[in-house]
Amino acid sequence: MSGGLQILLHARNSLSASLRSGSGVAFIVLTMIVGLGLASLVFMPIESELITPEEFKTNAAQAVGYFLSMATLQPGAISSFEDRLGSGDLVDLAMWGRYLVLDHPVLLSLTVMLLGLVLPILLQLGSFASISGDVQHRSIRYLLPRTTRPALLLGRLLGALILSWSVITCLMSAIVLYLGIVLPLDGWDALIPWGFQTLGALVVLSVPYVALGVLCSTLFRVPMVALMGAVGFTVAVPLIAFSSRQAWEPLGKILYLLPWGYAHQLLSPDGSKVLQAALFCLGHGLIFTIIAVLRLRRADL
Amino acid sequence: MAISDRPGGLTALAALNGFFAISSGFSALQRIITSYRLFAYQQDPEASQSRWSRRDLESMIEAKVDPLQMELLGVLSAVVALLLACSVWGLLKRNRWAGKWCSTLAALGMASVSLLAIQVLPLNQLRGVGMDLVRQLFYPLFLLFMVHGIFRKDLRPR
Amino acid sequence: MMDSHSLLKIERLSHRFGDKVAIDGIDWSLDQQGVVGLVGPNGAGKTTLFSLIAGFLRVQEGSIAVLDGAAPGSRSLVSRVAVMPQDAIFARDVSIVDQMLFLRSLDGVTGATARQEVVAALDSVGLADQLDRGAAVLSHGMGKRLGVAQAILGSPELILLDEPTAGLDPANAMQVRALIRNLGKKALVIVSSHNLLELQDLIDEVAVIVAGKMVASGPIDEVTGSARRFEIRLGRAISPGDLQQILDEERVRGVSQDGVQLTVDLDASADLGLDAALDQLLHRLLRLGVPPHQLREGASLEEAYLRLTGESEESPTRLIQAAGPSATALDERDEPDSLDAAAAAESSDDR
Repeated sequence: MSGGLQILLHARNSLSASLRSGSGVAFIVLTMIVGLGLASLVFMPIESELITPEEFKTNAAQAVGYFLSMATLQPGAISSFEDRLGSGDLVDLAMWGRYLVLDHPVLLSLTVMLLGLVLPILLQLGSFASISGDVQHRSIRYLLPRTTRPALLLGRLLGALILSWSVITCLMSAIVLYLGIVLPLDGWDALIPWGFQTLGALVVLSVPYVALGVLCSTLFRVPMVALMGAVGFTVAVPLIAFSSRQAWEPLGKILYLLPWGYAHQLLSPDGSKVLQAALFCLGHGLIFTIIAVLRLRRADL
Repeated sequence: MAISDRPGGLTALAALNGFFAISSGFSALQRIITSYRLFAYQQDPEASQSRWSRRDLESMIEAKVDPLQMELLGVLSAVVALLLACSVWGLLKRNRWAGKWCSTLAALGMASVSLLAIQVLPLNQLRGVGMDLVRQLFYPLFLLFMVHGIFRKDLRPR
Repeated sequence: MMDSHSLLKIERLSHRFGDKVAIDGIDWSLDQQGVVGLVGPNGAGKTTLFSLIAGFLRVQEGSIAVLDGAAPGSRSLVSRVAVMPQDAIFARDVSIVDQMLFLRSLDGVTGATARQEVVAALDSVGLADQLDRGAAVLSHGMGKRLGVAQAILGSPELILLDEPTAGLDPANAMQVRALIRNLGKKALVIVSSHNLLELQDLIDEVAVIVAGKMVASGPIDEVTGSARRFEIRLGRAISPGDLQQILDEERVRGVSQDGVQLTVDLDASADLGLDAALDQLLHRLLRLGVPPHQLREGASLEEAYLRLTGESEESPTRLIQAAGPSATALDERDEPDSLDAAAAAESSDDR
């Protein structure tokens, strides 16, 4: 049987096993409830008529501007406010903020930006047991005579990705449908293309984080340790980067161990930057996958 | 021999149903008590009530909340809680009727109670509106998908 | 045994877990299909050797060539090697039949054909009524049988079975043994087991592994030295003199007595083999006036195993061996029926 077909079989089996497992159910329920909860938080001021949509957009523009200036604050030469103003960097940010708040449905943009902060942690729940669960109980020994290690790993990764993409798609569909039917601030003609674009951004963003979960699953034999490792790494990277940058600026580059440093570019008005960020995400995912394959090939199972 | 060959997902669903059963039970209790207090307030507004609860009741009367409708919602929530509690046992025992059909009825009940509440209750009495309601509706839909899709074979007669 | 190509070739294989040497310079070659037993004390390295052949563990030193020279875990070996690991468990969230169907689908067989094969395999180990159960609910013995069932799916050329009958009831153990015997006609089946009596009837070749070293390997008659052990229950206990007379018989290699129970090792290698040896023994017993009340074949492999692993010292057996003109006792302890202390000392030196 060809390797490709085996990968697909492993993916299907892994998907089915995930849906039947406690961790899979927990992943789906938590991701959906947290995602819808975030959307609810964003929509609440308008839904409760605490604020008019126009006022909301003005406030949102400020919030988005602040978020983007924080996210794009690069370690190195252009770090002070004056420098950035002089370089025209902040003008670009204002354009970017306008793009997200005024040119496209603001509620969707804000929800996706929040999801981009939370999903990296939630996604680990769907991938941490991909390999470690079988290694812990040695059920992997029933599989190895019938498959190759890379096919097993790539199949499990694909299964975890499909599960994550399905959950993200369900989440985004619910949000877009709600915005289109119940809270029609923007027409379908604006919602649908932006919905697809933001869905694409989240789908691409999920690749490196799911791959990281699978990598941790090959590094640790106990699933809970793999989960803690993956979540710990995801949370620790930005924390360490921001705190160590105070001590020595180049240490801020640690942020780029994960897509934290460039993920916001996925929502950039500049198509080339979107493409670049997407390629970086896929590259990051590829690097994690290659390390995972190499690790699994050499592991005593 | 292991105690059970129940899939972990069914155990997780049972735990979630248990959580929602407790939540629905409290909600039912609260609504039934409120409906009796509304009845009592309508019959004698001067009867001994704390200032806070009197204000609360007055706001409900102003919002034209019918005590009977409130009681109906409370009873419905109680039925949902009961169904969810039965489904916990059914899912753990992999019983077709208690597991599959109690879950189905409970899911439909949860969704109905959430939607009915919007029609009947004033905003300050609602547990969620708007997008929050969508969040509430997610679990019933997910429960239906799981018991009729993923665990279809596990909950059939053996 | 059928003539075939080289199926397994191990050269100077060593494996360590930290400081502990699990496998120590093993050379082993198997060229023919059939059933091969791998025996050894607990912790001798049997499971490690299986894991290395199966490709679960990375080879640290030496080499293993499986089925015409492929390294363990190679792509070319996919679905050609089947393994029943000792301590692996099946996934608990998926039914037995679905797991088996998935394994078969990895071999490229799906649909009705796969289901038929899976049901047949489960039926052959007595699990046909457990198709829709989860693996977690199976008892230890049922789990073992499920492990055997997955190993016989398809048509593997090399099958590794680690303790396949451990924990099985007699009926199921017999069923599994029959299955292994059949598998041995079309594949090389390597079975590890502590039940030596069972192995003796099952295997064509045996390898004995002690402390990571292979101390003996080859056809079972070679390893056991053509000795066949018989347990005989007599009507009464016999005297040391009578015991000596039995030992003096040409085809009797050793004899021990425990009350009315007599254990005799016969030499089945000479002309007419076992029949002549038994004829000689029974005639002697009748002449001594102690007709046997019951006679059953014992484990001669066990005797060889104890000798090779050096465990006979701890055995309660009081075996007296006749090796040509000078008798050799395996047990040097001063037992009441021991007739040849000098031979006992010789045996002790051998060890």
